[in-house]
Amino acid sequence: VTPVALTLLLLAEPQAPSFPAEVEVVRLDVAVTREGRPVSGLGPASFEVREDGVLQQIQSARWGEEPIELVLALDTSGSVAGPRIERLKAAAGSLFAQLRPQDCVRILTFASGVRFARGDCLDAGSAGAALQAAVGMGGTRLHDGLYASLALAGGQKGLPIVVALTDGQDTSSWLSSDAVLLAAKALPATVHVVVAVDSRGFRFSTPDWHERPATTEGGLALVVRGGTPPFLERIASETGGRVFPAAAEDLQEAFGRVLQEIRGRYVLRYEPSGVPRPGWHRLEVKLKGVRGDVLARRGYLATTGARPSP
Amino acid sequence: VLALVFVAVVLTSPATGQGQVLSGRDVGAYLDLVDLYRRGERDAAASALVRWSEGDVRGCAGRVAQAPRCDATCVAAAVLMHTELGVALRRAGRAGSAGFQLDLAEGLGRQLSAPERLPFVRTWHLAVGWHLLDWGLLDAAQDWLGRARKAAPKDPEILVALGAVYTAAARGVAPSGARAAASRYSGLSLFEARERAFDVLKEVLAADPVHEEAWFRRALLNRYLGEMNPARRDFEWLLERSRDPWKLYLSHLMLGAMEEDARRHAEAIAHYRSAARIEPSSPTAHFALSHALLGREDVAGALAAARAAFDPGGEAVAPTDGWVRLRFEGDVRYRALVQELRAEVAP
Repeated sequence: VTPVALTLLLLAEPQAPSFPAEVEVVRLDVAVTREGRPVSGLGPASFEVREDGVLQQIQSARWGEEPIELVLALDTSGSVAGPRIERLKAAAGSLFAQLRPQDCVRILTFASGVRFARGDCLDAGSAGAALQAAVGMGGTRLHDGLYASLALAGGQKGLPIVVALTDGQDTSSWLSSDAVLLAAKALPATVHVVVAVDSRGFRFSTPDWHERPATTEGGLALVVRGGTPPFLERIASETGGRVFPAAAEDLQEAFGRVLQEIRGRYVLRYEPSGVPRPGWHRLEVKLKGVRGDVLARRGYLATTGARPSP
Repeated sequence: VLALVFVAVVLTSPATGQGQVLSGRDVGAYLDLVDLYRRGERDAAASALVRWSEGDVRGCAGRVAQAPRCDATCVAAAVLMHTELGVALRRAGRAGSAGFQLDLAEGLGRQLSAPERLPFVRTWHLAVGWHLLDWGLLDAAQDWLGRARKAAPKDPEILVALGAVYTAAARGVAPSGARAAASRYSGLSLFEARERAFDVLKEVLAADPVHEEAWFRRALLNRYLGEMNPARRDFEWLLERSRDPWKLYLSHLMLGAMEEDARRHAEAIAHYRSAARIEPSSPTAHFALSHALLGREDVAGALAAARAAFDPGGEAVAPTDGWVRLRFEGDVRYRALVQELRAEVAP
């Protein structure tokens, strides 16, 4: 059997090149809340993790200490033209300002194209500068943008996190929402989604494509059914992330809540045992002797490395 | 660029016909604007014209044919000016004003009946047809292209454009995703639209069996309708015969998607790799390849393919991505045709 290549949520610990046996460690991003508030102070003994029903031995449970590798995926299509794009930049700027020196951020914007801001791992200053050029124009390649974000959040420099801002509309992607879900399951990032809604609680949506400005005859085309598109809910829940509805004027506060969520979590580590590899591994995370709600990804994919491709 | 200027102009100006009374502007002032437009100062012409009341504009445009200083080229220029302004107004979200300008252009266009003006009229109808298709205004697109077809029943470009309109009607969605407008399409049932789409393309291919554009349209139509074997036949014909990188790129993408749907991942991957070689800077083929590799649980390959969408410096913008161009093809074609028409009316 070829050494198991690490994929999603699996982290191969750094090791000397001469060390022949690959050590696999699963790194699991877990939220614990009670009455909606994060619960701190728990140790490994407070958690029970099962892979495909097999109990695993947790080595560590660290609270909020992990450096993060954040991909910020922003909708810069025509639906955020005008004042919204400036609010978006300001909100992103305040998020960057709260990052720690050990954190790493990448910026991906999607409209009719998908743009990854130059620089592999930006600090807060350069991240803000990279976003300044963004304008609100064009169609929306939401699916393609999310897919690319998941691929860019490799997890080599920290806990891989994707934070996406979108109104849930897609007009121009090649990939389907199912393709993004497949990637969300197979790749390691936790996905948090900030869904833009208007101040009355409806999602805002605008005409579909490139040069259409956000405000049109009749104003915003409100999607009265409201709520978050199921596909975004699904991505968040599959990866252990959350959805944050936010009015355009509250984006800054929403990003603040996302950062609190990211930092108010545990990272559990364990070496998987008693389960065959490779393949899909169903995960169950529970609390032991502690009251609270747990949120974690539902599984991960372990592979035997790249199969030969034509 | 002009379109953007127009948009800026119309966004900052009052709506025509609102808050302005008929001021009795004369035809001379109107023709000055037409001259301005012909000389290439289109934004200046637009910014002035958009401030006129609809009554003034209609009144002056109606008297253009009688004005001694306005020959047929001048009338054609006026037609084009109102057309471009209408498109810009639609982009600015002022559909009512856009409709007024296009109606006006259409009325003026009826004066261009001399045989030597027919090529202009034909290209103009074609341009407006593609624009309307882009916005999902399928009834109107069908009307405009239908009028062009009456004048030139065998014109393959018009038939192909009609094929694109009927295809959108058969799918219930415009290529650019203007679903709401497409769903208002009232002319035909989905089945009738499908039949008409096939009929017009068949007509083109009967006259010219190697008409690439018609093969391409039929391939897309078959693909959209789920007719996989005919779609495969048409795309493979294009791969053998076409030298157009755009059609080759899209043929590989579409064939890749069909193979992927049929769970033939190796074949899908081969097509996506071919597409990526044709347009290496376009992200779509890289994303498609990445997803197909992920379907084989080749995570490392999938990550590498997705990251290849971005150049080593990290920048990845693909305004020319063939997939995006297909989605917004109506606009691309409209712009190209208008460029031709502008040259025809230049002094």
